[in-house]
Amino acid sequence: MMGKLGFVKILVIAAEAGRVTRKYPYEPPLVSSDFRGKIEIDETKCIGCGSCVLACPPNALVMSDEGEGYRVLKYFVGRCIFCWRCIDVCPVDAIKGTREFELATDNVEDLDEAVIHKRASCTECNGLYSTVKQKAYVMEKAPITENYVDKCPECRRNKLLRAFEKRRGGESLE
Amino acid sequence: MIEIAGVSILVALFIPTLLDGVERKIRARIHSRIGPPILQTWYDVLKLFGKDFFVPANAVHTVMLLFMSLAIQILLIGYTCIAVVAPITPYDLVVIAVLAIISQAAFISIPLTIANPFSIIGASREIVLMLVNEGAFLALVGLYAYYTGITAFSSIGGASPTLYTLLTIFALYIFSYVASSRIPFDIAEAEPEIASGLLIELSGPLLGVFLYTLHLKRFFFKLFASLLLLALFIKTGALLLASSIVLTIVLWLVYAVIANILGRSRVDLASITLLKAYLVIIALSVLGYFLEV
Amino acid sequence: MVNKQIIDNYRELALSLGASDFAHSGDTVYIVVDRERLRGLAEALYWKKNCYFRTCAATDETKINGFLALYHIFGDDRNGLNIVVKTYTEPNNPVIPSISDIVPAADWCELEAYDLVGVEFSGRKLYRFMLPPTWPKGLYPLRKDTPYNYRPGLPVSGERISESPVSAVVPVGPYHPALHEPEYFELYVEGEKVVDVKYRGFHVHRGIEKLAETRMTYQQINFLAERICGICGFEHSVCYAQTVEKAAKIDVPERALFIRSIVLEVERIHSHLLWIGVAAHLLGYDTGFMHSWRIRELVMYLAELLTGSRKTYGINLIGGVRKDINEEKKKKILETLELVEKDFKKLVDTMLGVPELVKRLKGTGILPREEARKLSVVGPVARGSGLDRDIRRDLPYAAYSYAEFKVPVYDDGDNLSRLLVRVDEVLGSISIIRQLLDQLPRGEIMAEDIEIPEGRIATSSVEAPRGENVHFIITGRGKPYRWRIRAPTYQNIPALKIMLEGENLADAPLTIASIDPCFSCTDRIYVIRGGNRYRMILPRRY
Ligand code: SF4
Ligand code: SF4
Repeated sequence: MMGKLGFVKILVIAAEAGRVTRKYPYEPPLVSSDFRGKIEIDETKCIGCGSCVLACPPNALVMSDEGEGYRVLKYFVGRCIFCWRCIDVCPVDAIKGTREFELATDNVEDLDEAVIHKRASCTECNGLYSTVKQKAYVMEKAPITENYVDKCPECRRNKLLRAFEKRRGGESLE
Repeated sequence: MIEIAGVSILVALFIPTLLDGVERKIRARIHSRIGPPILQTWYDVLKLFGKDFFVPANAVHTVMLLFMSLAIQILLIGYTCIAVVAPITPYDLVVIAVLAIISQAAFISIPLTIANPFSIIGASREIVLMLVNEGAFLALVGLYAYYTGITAFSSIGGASPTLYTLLTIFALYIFSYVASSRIPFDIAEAEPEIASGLLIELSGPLLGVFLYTLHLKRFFFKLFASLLLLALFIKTGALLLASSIVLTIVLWLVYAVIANILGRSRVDLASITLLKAYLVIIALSVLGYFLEV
Repeated sequence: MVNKQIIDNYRELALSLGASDFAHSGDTVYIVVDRERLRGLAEALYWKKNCYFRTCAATDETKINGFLALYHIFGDDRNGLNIVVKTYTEPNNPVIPSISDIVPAADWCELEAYDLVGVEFSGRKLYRFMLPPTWPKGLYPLRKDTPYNYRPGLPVSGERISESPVSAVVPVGPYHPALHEPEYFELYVEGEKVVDVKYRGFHVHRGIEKLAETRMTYQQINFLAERICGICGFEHSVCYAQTVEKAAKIDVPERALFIRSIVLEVERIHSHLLWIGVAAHLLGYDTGFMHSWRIRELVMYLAELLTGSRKTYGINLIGGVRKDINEEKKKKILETLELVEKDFKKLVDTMLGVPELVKRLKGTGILPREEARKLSVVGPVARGSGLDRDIRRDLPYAAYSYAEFKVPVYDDGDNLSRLLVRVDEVLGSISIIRQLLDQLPRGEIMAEDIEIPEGRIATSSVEAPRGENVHFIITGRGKPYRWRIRAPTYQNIPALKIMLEGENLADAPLTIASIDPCFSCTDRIYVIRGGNRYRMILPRRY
């Protein structure tokens, strides 16, 4: 159009565009409604089932048994990739996504969160298994007797084996 | 009289760095950004002065050359400001041309004293460009003196606005643009190509001095051309000096815009194009002189 | 669907050249051949059948059949076929004849197989390529008995440029101040002319394949795959997901395929805008850089709205996608595209009017067509050198068969051609998104039951902004047994040598960037005497 001086048009483009940068952090950031940020775990809802731990790609969520009879679900934001897979898989909707992303801190402990669960103890062998809340959840959702859920998987299996043995008339399974 | 010169010198020493801040603001505007505050370049330079004094390895002459070119640059500005209002020698133009060449030579020797390939490549690019540019500068100043018979600022009011003088002065503006190493002529720095070339090893106060010298240089060459131009119309020394400074400021802003709508050239392209441009202008001007237009 | 006649031709060819097995499934032909016959077959495929070379994948199959295996993957793009050639070798004497003299494009992947799996190639020079120089001999990371988290405790090895006559220590290593990634080119220059180029990369080899094969699950790997590339990661996660889907024969709902294509094109637009900005920056035209990125920002925001994240979209799973596009978003896409298209056209118009820019793009960094073909380069590099290839058209995946688009091809092979290809592709992508949104079918976005049997093989490709990604998978239990990834830059970097030699140093960063290696510039420069201005600075041999 303007022949050899066409490149001057960039000034027009700039004028039309105006200023597009923001005075962040003095102005709110430009984050859309669908942005995936940090997650929040509702410790009152969480039953400590560990599904989220299995789904989490970068091990931002881990679960470990600690101290006397506790199972701890730990969330370390530093590893989180904000994929929200944990939200997808949580059976009780205990995890909520937020739009928070300003997570920088000078204290690394701010990046850790934990949900502490009391583990259930087996009525038969007194061993620890699962968590108290998960036990309650299973009982509520499935038509199983308390007697069954009260035992740890080990004792449950032994009980089952014994039942088999009885039915087969005392034959050994080996 | 001398107060005016004094004030002008102070202005001329302070304002170039400020103008760089304005240039950054203009650049930001053309980029559709908010950009830094106008005083940012001053903040930068002052901050650099506050850093550790670090001399690059094996660069013994760097510091000396750097301060030498800063001193000459300040001298140039001081000399010019005084000479315009109060006569110093009858050969002001010669003095200025010589000082300018020395300062440029010192400036360009800085990266050559540093044993870093990027630095050396940057310097060698600058030398190629300078050969053309400084050569043209000498020729143009010579032509001006030849046409008008003026070699001192005290008699500068005697020049008349002929076409061929105007052409020479126009070419001096081109010279001042190239000497300011703005895009497309920032090939010696060329950050993404040769990692800031001649700047690569400079840091802290040294970098501060380097940048400040560069700002003064940019200011001075524009001021010089503006003096010659405005002297054609304004005959009182003080008014001439003041208006030239104003014109320099305006030009700075214009240059800032130009630099932001162009891309970087290449050393071979730039020197050839430049040489051609100078030759054409000088030829036209000489032709004009003999045809008396 | 692939013509039966063509498959029969391949069968005939393979069997006549002594292949011991031949199979065909979907768009892939599998050939098993003895070591001795491999070279003959490779030559016939690469030069007679005019196939491209995609990559090769060495696999430790000792757990399955007691052998090591090498899969050469060729691509007959014209007929929409992948050709996988498998060769076995014994783990105690793993020698396979090299084909890199016949197929120059196989050079890198052979070296990689040698380094990571320990396959010895006869008839070529083998050297350390990926692993650090101090890595213990005989320890092959991708062998199945090497644990993924094994750290051999390497001594820290530094490289120092020796003192030169001018006693310079050049403090620019892989972390060049102007570089954004630890890639490492040595440009040997004479004056300002480049006379030789050496590349050394893999400083940031992350062991992604190994990680996936040992520690992750099928669905988790989607997110890992997305992190292969910092710009076009979604392409990798799509490629991974669709390769597994292909291996397991999972039917992905159409709507999911459409969404994948739409998001892929969004990614292409922002990737190309990024590149155009970087190119402008390298040419000192920062104004163009800023405006290109200003426009890109609209696309980034759109991406976030569509997927939940600006860059690592995280919406892919095997079997479909996790996030739907509703009417409101559809409207928003169309609005944004409208703006982007208008602004982009104006910007490109203006940019190509800047005199220095065009002068420095035209005729620099030339890659002639024959060389491009020899090296099987991909993406805009191939299309800028007159090779008409684009996986989206040749082996359509996701929903590309529903859209009409032109594949831009330019013949000059210079930096300008590659720029123009990308410019055209941005506009092409905008049109594709519009077409797909228009036809977006209703329905589910996730397949119902997903079952991935063990021991299946599949390979598939996607056309990423930088060229084709190739993924190759052998399925295992809960995770892939072998996952091989080939990113486009892997295929294009060898072409840089040709592009750079005889070039001006000033144009080198642009030329290197012109293959779009996720931002890259010159790294380290050695100055050779001859330009007689410089003295020589010698690197110490390592
Ligand atoms: S958002 Fe993703 S990475 Fe973060 S905790 Fe949940 S599953 Fe893990
Ligand atoms: S209840 Fe939800 S949050 Fe708690 S462990 Fe299970 S999946 Fe995780």
